[in-house]
Amino acid sequence: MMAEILTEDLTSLLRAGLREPWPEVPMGPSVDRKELS
Amino acid sequence: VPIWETMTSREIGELINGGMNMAVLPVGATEQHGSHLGTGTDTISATLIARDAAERAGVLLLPSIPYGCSLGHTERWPGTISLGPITLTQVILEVSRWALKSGIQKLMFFSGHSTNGPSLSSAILQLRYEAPDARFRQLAIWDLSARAQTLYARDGADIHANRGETSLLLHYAPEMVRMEHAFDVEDVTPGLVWNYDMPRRPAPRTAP
Repeated sequence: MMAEILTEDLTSLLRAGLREPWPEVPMGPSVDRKELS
Repeated sequence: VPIWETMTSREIGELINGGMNMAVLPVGATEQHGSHLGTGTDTISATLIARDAAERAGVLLLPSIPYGCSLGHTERWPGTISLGPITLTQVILEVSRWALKSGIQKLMFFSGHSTNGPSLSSAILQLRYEAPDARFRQLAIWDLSARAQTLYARDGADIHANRGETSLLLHYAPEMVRMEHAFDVEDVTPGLVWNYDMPRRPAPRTAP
């Protein structure tokens, strides 16, 4: 029973991981190297 | 089951090119597991759960890493073979980089041993930086879900060689269990500020 529960839960996570889209991450301003120099 | 080491290079390439770019890497340990469980308990548990789940989900199963970071068990009991945390991080990094070269883009590290956690976290920090288009996740077998946590913690907060690990082994690999040598040991550290114990080691062996 325990093995089946663990297998089911990992299977669900793997399936969710397969479907999950990768969200666009909002990025801050990139470093202005001229300003740094 | 898409098991990496049983597939040819061509088969792996075709599967990945066909759109399956996710893999699971079981990370185990070789360490003393009390008087009644085999030293490969964490490796076998993580590998067989990952194998069955990978088959159902259709994702690739990478060859398991049989050594983990088991320094906490020390050399007091024979049978433990440990990597240091930095070495384990490096092993995870190198295996992952090579999996990425084959086209894997989503990689799940599935650990059967608690103190592999920091090394996996460190490796993921580095991999996220090196491969921003890929995705990495670490997961411990007892942390899969709330019901997994309940099952593992039935007889105490320290799950090492406990009832949960024993149950899993009795199901998957009964030849690794010596029930006649099983006995209960009380957890000694939960709730403490310094919440881990380090076993006293025997004096170093000297040459005769």
